[in-house]
Amino acid sequence: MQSNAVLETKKISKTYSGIRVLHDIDFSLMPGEVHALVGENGAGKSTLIKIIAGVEAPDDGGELYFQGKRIPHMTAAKSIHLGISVIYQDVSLFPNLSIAENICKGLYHDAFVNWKKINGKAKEILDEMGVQMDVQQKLREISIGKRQLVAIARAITFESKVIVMDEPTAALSSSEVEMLYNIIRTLRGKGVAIVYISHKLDEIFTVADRITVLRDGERIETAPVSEFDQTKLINMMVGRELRFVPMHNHGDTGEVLFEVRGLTQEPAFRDISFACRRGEIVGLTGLVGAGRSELAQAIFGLTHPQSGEMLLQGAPLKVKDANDAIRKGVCYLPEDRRSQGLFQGHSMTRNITAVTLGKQLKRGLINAGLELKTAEKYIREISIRPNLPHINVESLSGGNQQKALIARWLNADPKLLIVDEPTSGVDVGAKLEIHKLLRSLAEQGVCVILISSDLSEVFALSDRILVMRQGRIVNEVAVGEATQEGILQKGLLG
Amino acid sequence: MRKILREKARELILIGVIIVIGIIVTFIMPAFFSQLNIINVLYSNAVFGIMAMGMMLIITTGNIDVSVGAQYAVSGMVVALVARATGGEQPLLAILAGMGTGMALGLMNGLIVAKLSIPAIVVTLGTLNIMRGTLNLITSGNWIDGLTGPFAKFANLRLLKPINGLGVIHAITGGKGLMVFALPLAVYIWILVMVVTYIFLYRTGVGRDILAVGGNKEAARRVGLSQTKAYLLAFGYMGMLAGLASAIAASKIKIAQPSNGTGYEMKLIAACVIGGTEFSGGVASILGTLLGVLLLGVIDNGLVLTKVPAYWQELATGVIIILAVGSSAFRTMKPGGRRAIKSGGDRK
Ligand SMILES: Nc1ncnc2c1ncn2[C@@H]1O[C@H](COP(=O)(O)OP(=O)(O)OP(=O)(O)O)[C@@H](O)[C@H]1O
Ligand SMILES: [Mg+2]
Repeated sequence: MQSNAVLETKKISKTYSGIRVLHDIDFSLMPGEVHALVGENGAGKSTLIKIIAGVEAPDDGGELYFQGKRIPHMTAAKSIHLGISVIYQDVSLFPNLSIAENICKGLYHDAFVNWKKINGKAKEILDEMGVQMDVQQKLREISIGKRQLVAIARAITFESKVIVMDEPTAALSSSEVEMLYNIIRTLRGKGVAIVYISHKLDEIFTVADRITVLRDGERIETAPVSEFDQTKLINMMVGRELRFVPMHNHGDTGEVLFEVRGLTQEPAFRDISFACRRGEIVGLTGLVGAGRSELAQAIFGLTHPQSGEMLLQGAPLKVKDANDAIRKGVCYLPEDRRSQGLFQGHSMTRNITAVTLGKQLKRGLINAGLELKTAEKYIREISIRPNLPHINVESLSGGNQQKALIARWLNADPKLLIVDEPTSGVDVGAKLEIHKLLRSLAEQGVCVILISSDLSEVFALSDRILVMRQGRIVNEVAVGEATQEGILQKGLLG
Repeated sequence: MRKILREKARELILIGVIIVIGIIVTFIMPAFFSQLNIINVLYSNAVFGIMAMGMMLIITTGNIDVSVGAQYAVSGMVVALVARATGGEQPLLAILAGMGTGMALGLMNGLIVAKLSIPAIVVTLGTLNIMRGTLNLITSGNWIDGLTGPFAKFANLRLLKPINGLGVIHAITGGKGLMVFALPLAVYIWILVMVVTYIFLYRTGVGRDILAVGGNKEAARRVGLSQTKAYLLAFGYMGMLAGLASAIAASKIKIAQPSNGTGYEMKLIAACVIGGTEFSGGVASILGTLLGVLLLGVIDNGLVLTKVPAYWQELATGVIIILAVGSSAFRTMKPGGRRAIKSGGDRK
């Protein structure tokens, strides 16, 4: 075997309840390289990581080497001890503990806790990263983006030899992503090996030295980044050719369907006015913290603005709560699927039909057959994998969880659908599917508001773009006349 | 200052409620606000207060123990047996025997919960019946009485004398002296248990790990923390404290009964919940739990002093629990009126 690899797997396989999700994976990681791991949702990326980290045990027969030494039974504690840090896709931290403690958990083994040391260390690392945080604040009090930074700080603190980042940018703003790149470059310079998982291909091409492509649990290719281009990479991941076409409205938007006038909810947003026509997709972009999600939650009735009004089809729209909103045809796909969307521990079917139980009735009772049919319909239409309606949603891969949630709202027959980061963690193929889906919804007369930090997505999909900054709409542009740079200049940065 | 107000809001509310109740009761029955009565409230709640620390720890790990009353009864009988056999001459031995018995029972609970991953409520409901059943079989329901000697005195032992030097103190206290430090040993033991629990939970590595496991099991697993260890510690600690409490009770009433401690679990859980311990795990407040115990104790005492029928006590306890839990839910509401979804979705 190649002796200078810091980490190497040989013929690693993993079977979950009879389904093989990883098949004889050979994977090697060199010191000082950024190794991107790409593949569709459910390809097995996170599973491979969990095996490397000792959180999941592989099937018999596979071998795992660390610095040339075989590790027969990897455990979580052992992997940390060896110097493997993982930033998990579902940010695995302790909400009840302080930021400092989250960063340092497991670092010191003193019988008595030395708070000065912990707080000092955490502060030192965050300062090094250039992040301002009160390290004694409880983790539950900070945003998801900040939590992701905490997870990154954690990996740095452990002075690991291997750092795995499973979709680290999912909740980061563009400036934070820049910061992450810098951190990665510094770490690489110090000889740390980094595994980088992402669905955002431009990120891959920016940071990666080598790329490994997984498809359906098999390793398709490993090669230096210079041997790939965007199209080749996508084709390898998906196994077929994908064609991107801009999906804009063909100029014929209908009457105004939804309108907001002077909506204000201090301190999140103020004086928001805009209108949205039938058949239109309106992009709402801005930096994390600009008040986009808060605005969406207010429209959906989760919070109540202090002033302003909303109109749906010309009539005043008052929503008491989410239930009321859904009844009136206003639907909202939240940004954080794990805590705001999924019913953990329940089947995919139940998750899909949760807000539309009224449709699943037979003689007044919920009918399992009808529920199943609904679920199967969406599994087919937006290709949720695996095709197991009864699978626990928690064991779906991240992207497929997202698809299940989208199916939930499709089934609710919305008039106005607000989607908040709808493709976060979704692979390129599925992203295209979701884009097509949103476009066809718009064509059927639904008004779609797309909240996304991914500018290329906003450009690909929206007919009009609203830019929010610090709680206000600061710019409105038709897509034809806007350029990415223009948006950035005018709105995001101010 | 504002930070303290925000973080300790519940504790402050509880202190306020206790003071208000105290003022009302004093108004009707001035004897409430006397040194003797206040010490009496502390003395009679030491047993609960001690066990509440254990219950708090268990709830913090995301579990629950409804078998505490049974652990308390079993270890109480063991304490009484040892005390009687030694003629009450070896109080420490009796106490240690009780603590050991309780700890063994608690560890058994913890082991089953951790290893078989059966929900703690189911496990402890089972062990509750096993313990009580076995105890009744062995004792045929008979109690052990006639406890004498130093053992029968230790709970109410006053190690320190009242402060009575100055004429003013003498006058104000009607000659009894200032008794702030002249508390029964049981109360000092209670204070010691709280201090130990505090140090354990906030200053030791294992204590922090217990909180971490309670906060996010999956994350704990991924950083290699042992769930089994956390559960064993919490349940073992609970059992040990049940044993200690049963020794204090046996010393106070000089008798041990197999039916002792029936219904204690509910009162303990109530005290923890009032004090802000969350069933979802990961959040504990020692001060809150203490105040929860005191609040229930003050209501108890106040109703007795004002001669309100005992049934009202239960009703009042119920109302207080709902108010206490409700007030914390109210605090987390956003100015918008409704609870906004917070990113991360963790409870406050
Ligand atoms: N605990 C489990 N039980 C059953 N199946 C599981 C479990 N965990 C993962 N799987 C399945 O294993 C497959 C691979 O999942 P994995 O999370 O590794 O995908 P991924 O490549 O990380 O995808 P994504 O990009 O969506 O995060 C999926 O089909 C998933 O449903
Ligand atoms: Mg994944």
